[in-house]
Amino acid sequence: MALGAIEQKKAVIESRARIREFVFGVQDGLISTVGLLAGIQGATESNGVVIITGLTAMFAGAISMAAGSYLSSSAEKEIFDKELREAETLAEKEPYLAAEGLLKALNQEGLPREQSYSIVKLLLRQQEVFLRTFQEKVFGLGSAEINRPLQAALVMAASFIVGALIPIVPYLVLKGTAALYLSIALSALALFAVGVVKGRLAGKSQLKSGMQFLAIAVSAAFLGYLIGLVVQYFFPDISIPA
Amino acid sequence: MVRIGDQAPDFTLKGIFQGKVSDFAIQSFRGQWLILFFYPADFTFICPTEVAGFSKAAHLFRAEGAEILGVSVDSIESHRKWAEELGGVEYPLLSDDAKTVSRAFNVLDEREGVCLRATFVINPSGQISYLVISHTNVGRSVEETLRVLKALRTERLCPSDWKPGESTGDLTLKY
Repeated sequence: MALGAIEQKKAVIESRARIREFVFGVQDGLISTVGLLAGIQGATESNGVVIITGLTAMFAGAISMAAGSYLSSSAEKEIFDKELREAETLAEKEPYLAAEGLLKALNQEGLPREQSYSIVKLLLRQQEVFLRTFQEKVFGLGSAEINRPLQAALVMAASFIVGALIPIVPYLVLKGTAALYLSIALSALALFAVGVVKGRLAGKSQLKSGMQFLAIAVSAAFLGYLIGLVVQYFFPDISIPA
Repeated sequence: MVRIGDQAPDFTLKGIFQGKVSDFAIQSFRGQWLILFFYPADFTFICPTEVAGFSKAAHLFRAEGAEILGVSVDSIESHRKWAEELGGVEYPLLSDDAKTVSRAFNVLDEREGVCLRATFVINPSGQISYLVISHTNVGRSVEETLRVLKALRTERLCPSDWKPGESTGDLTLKY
């Protein structure tokens, strides 16, 4: 790997950290919409109602998911930033302890004690470098900017919309159960595709990853269906008005 | 448990002094005062101040007829490199790698597997005259050890905060 490629790697790692929002958004968009549309389709003859419901759920879901993602990401970021600041204060107030902590961490990773000592001593000449290494090695706090709340929210919203659109599209061209079956089939295919993409990014078997995504999503849907049956069994008199 | 007035546990340990490795037996220090101090580890950022502090003051202790021995559980090789790193140490560093001596003096931190910061002043008859063990975070006072040694050597009653040159044994003094 050329040096340039190594330097670019951090940016790649940071951008790929968004895979979490991408997978979450697409998966949630797909599953929640396909289920909702299946239910509505059974209750109405009108394709228009199904589509309007789907689009409304899509936008509402995207906004809600983006807000949730923004809030959770910034909560995490704020806490991490606080930990980083505290580590910094500790290193400034207790330089000997910080140096000793770093020495111990390097030593535990397998570097002989005297070599660890020499490295820490060298690092101590540059306060800033020492501090970063101390935070990373002793507290495991990395400097890669993987936590960007706004970016996370945008990726989440876009992914949710992409995921939700897939089961809606068939209702634009087909009617009735044909649209329903195509909607389910496309959703399953899309889930598989997301798994394949993840497999490629993670450098793992794409087929296996695709199947894993599909299996987990189908199991989740099936579990939901089972719960529905159980509820029906215990409350046979309750029916949803059409 | 090692107490004041007890005979110091007998031992022979390998040590290094001025680049030479040899055996150091506590018996061979009979007839002179001995400062035996234990420290947690070589190559650390907390200890060097006192290892170096004793080294700088070694001639003052010798002037009082006392020798100094530093002990940790590190190997002889580690001691050699550590002494080089510190720019030379003016007394032998002994290797208690089997941890038997630290255990005999009851100063081994069993959980960490290293010695506590403990200082023993042993009189010419081989008895313990003074001992102090401090928390790992707190370094020893070389000056205080020297003051205590001087006070012990007067063989008289020394009042609180006594300093060399001040009166000893006087009934009017507060002890």
